[in-house]
Amino acid sequence: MPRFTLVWAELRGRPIRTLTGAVSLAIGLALFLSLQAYGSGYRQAARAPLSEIGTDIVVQREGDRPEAFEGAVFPHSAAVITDDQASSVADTDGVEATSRALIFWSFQGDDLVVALGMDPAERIGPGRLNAGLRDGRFLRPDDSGVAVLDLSYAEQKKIRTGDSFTVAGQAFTVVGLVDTSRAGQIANANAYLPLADAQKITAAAGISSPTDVNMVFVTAQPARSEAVAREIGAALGRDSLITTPQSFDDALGSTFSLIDRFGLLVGIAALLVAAAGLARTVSANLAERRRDVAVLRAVGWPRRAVTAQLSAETTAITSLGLVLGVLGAMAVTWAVNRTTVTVPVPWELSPTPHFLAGGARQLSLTVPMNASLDALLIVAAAVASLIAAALVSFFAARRAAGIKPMEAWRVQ
Amino acid sequence: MSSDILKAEGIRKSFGKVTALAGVDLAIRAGEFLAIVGRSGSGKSTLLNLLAGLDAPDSGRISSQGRVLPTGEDELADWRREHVGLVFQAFHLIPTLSALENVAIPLYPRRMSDTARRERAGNCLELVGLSHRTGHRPGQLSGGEQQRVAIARALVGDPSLVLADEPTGNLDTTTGQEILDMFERLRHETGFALVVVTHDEKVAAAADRQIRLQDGVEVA
Ligand SMILES: Nc1ncnc2c1ncn2[C@@H]1O[C@H](COP(=O)(O)OP(=O)(O)O)[C@@H](O)[C@H]1O
Ligand SMILES: [Mg+2]
Repeated sequence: MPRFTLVWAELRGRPIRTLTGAVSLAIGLALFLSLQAYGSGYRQAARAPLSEIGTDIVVQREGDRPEAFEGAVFPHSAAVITDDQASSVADTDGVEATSRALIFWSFQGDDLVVALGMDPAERIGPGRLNAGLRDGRFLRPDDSGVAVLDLSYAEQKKIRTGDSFTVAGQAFTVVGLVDTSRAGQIANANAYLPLADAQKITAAAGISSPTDVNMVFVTAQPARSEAVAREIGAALGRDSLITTPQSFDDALGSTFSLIDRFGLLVGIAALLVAAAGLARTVSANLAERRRDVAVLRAVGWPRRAVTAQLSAETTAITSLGLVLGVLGAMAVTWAVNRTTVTVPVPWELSPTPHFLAGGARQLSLTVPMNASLDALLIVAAAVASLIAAALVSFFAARRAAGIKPMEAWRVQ
Repeated sequence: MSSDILKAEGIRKSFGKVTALAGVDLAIRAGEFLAIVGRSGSGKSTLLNLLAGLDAPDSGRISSQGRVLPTGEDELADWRREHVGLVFQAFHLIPTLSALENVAIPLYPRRMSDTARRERAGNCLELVGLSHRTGHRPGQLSGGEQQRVAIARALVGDPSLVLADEPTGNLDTTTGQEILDMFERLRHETGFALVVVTHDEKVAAAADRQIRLQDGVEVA
């Protein structure tokens, strides 16, 4: 049985040694844990544009550049997806739900309206925009001839709820205004219409059939979205344009991919350095304590008792390091969560003509960083360090306990 | 015969090519004060360490009250804890522990309550006149005080034999004399046998009996 009063006296009696050991472990552990937290927070941020509209995958097809900018026109990133194709997306293994939409540009003289036909009954995709409703009401499943406008667009055009609004020569009654600045970066439009109305307009313009769409929003089984996306892409063919969380990871660029790829490696390296630091402390401690160990043996402590005592000291230093490390990681995570991440949204998800003012501007979504420490990882790291420390110190201490007092004292 | 509390017969010990002890016989009687004298390097410390069971002789036998000392390290430690108190020239206190904790150290392997242990250690510090220094660490004590703590530690297990290796070697003459006087007083009060290793003839002169070592053998 280790003697805790003696352990405490030893820790307190050599504060530099105690702190060096604990802090070296703490730094490594804090680095490991906060890197993981930072990585997961960043990854979560990258998913924000998609998760804001409750979607894992956005399916589109790439088409030709429009020849003339007159009447209803599809952006070249939004070629038609037939009813069959959309159904086969929905039937893909691992797909949980889909919702269809039809985005088009409507040129009327010098004026352009970006319009999105959507199904307000769907809980995923643009249907989510109703959360940003600022005036009037949102679209309803059986609506026809009504539109909901983007708030800032309506303000700029001085249009109010109840006004009439024309898209490709068709008159719509404005029933509500939505603020899409938070959620609307994907499928960002000026006017949101019932899907059937939008389909009628583009069919009348001769650019689609009445059942065609050009965007399919997909939710997939958790953790399968990348595989599902690959399968959908393969089925749709070479011109398919599939957006997944990975696309956003890539769009976030070097910082993220660095953390994503090397975070675990750096974290593990940090842990190894921490373990080495702790092992060094243990052995330095035992070297420094040779004479004390000799005293314990000389006054009649059995080897077992000496081993237990030295192991308890190391375990106590390790525990202190663990607590400091977790506190450090919590502090880093707290600080990181005061920052925001700006996630760029690819052009094809909210196509605006390049030749318009601001058309080539990169859309982006700024979200607060939401890093969180993984409790399981903390427990795993704690258990691993304790086991490692206990093993190292047990064997080191057992050897140290075998010192012959006279030899320990001869070397002075 | 059984009044010999420790008996060594034909003790030999070498370290590599160096022969430290080349056949030593000796008996320690209960309650006596025996001095082992000799020049530096004559094998005194080696002999004392063997008597304490801190190391084993190459040949010869050491027995305590008619029984050969055990050979296992832990059994020897048990024996030492129950019967022997050790005092060294360099005090060998644990620097991070208070005087009281240092004195209590030999009691930890015993079944004993914390309170009883502290009380026993406190009593021993009182015996050596250090009741006012219980909370001090070795670094905060003078050499003489440190040696008194070491003596209290040697006595805490109520030994029948105290082995001291140059106990005054690191102290000035006056302090050394105080330590010797204290040993004598305590020996009379508690009745342990005292073996002091020394190269100092004045220290040796205080003993009941002397054994003189030279090059690892006893000389007249
Ligand atoms: N552990 C050891 N290893 C090697 N040589 C030793 C060891 N202990 C003692 N010696 C040698 O044995 C001889 C006797 O030493 P020691 O018993 O310390 O003498 P004393 O205490 O009388 O000065 C010396 O030559 C010393 O160098
Ligand atoms: Mg010596």
